[in-house]
Amino acid sequence: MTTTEVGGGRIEVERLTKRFGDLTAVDDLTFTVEPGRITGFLGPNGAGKTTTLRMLLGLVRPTSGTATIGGRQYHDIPSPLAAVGSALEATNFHPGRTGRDHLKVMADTTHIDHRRVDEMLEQVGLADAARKRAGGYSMGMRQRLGLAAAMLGDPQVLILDEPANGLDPEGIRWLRGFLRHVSSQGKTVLVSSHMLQEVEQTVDDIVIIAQGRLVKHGAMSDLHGTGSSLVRTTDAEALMAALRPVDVAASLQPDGSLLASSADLQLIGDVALGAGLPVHELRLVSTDLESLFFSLTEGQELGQGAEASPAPTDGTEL
Amino acid sequence: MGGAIVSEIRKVFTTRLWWAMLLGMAVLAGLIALGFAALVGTEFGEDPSTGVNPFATMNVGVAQLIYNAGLIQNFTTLFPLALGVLLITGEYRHQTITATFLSTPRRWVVLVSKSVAVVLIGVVYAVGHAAASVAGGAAMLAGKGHPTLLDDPEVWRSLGIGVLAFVVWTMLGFGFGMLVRNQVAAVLIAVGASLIGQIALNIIFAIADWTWAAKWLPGNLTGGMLITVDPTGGAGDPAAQPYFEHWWLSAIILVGYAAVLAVAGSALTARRDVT
Repeated sequence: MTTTEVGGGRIEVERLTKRFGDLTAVDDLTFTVEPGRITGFLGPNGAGKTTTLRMLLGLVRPTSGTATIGGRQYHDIPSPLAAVGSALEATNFHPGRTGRDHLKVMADTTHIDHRRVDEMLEQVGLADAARKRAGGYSMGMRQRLGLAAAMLGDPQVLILDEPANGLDPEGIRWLRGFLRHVSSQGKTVLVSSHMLQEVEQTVDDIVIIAQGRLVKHGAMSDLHGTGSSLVRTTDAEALMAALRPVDVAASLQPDGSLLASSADLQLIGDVALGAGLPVHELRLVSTDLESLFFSLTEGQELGQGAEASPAPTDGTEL
Repeated sequence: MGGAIVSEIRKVFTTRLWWAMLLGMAVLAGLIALGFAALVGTEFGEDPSTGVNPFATMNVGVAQLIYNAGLIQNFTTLFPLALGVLLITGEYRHQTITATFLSTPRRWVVLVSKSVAVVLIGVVYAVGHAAASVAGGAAMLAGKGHPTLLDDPEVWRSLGIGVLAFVVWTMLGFGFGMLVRNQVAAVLIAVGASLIGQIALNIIFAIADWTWAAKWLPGNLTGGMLITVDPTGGAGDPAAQPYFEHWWLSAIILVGYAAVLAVAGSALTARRDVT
């Protein structure tokens, strides 16, 4: 087996655009994926995730812009399977070919030893079904076969499109463990999903797109941190007005408290003091990421930010 | 490149398609050859339009006719044609083309490797076809007391040219499949055109007396390649035959058809997005 160097394994997408006729599937998209971290590539169905990944893997020709892995375009990587492992869709198997033969067909192209095929089948828990035709595989088994195929060349970079699709809760737990194990080896992992909760506990970084455009890009911990705070005072409306000049939006809650779109407790306290308002309660509210993700993506679809959105939608890097 | 070729060959032989179709074709080829052999020495082989009976007496030309009977009837040619279509359209139907291009992103390498696999499976089919046809034809000839002529070099040359015919028909399907991609549509159009389309054109050309045009039909080119000795022993009018004078001329034209389809299909496949 040959090992192919792909720089540090950093994925760089720069001003990537793809138009299919009148439809702009991917629109001036720029982001990077760092080695040694798991990056979640999120967006609602039809956001352009698959098209982006297919451009990154040389299957779809970009209208403009570039997508590189370790500074190279996919088709310039000498033995791509040994550098970049990818699993795009769980249906990409000939139903009449056994799982083992599918892997052998791929292994042949890169001169990968067939012992590695059996090793991988063992590792993903498919050893018993390896000699059965893939047409009889369950969705979970197909996902596992896809992962085995991606790992075949012991690549430095792993790109997975919706690997959690069709997995039961136990399968998702298994997938998490698998991804953790892989990233602990210093590999670059990019995993797409249309459901935040599937990857929320697994990913380090996050890239969110909607309608082909970047919505948010940053570390998961920062995203958790774009929280808001709850403040209680005697005259909520007055505090709301006082917060406006410092660019903090606030909304009145049913119980009379204010939800302010800032995690800066000191700022809010100072503003209240300046306005001569007593602070009865002031604390951080941890944002529910799912509703954040929802508002981000929905907000884009509706054209401009929804009122409920406590987070910016300007696509700046965090 | 070597790895990609091995991969493409393994792909062909790891599903049931190749032997299921080979088996079906071999049975059919054997039966047609048996039927042709049964005509030897009878008046049932007479061509009603010309009144000439190529089966009147057993000779080398008749042996070539019998041992390639399925191909001459333009019937078993449909098997390599369909196989070629299925091998490439299957990649699109089951989306395995994604894994193929991810393993070998330089598409021309994939296409050349696939062509090598297509040539190889064409040869395998040719051998199967020849074995079945010789078995069926020779059994009937021997049973009727006719010489099998299996010791004649012209008979073996014809079987050898049959290998080329098979490779070309598989390649025709492969090229056509790349152009159409939709499996069902590609198989129906390819088989329909070469079976019904050619029969219809043959009739039209015969009525219009356009033998020159009929010579260019793929089925007749195949016949022209395989029959190198006149079975009628000069009784028929050679000018009335829809065959070119030299077998190699037919072969070159047929190879040309396959090359045009394969090159056009490859050019498209190399550029097209895989979504």
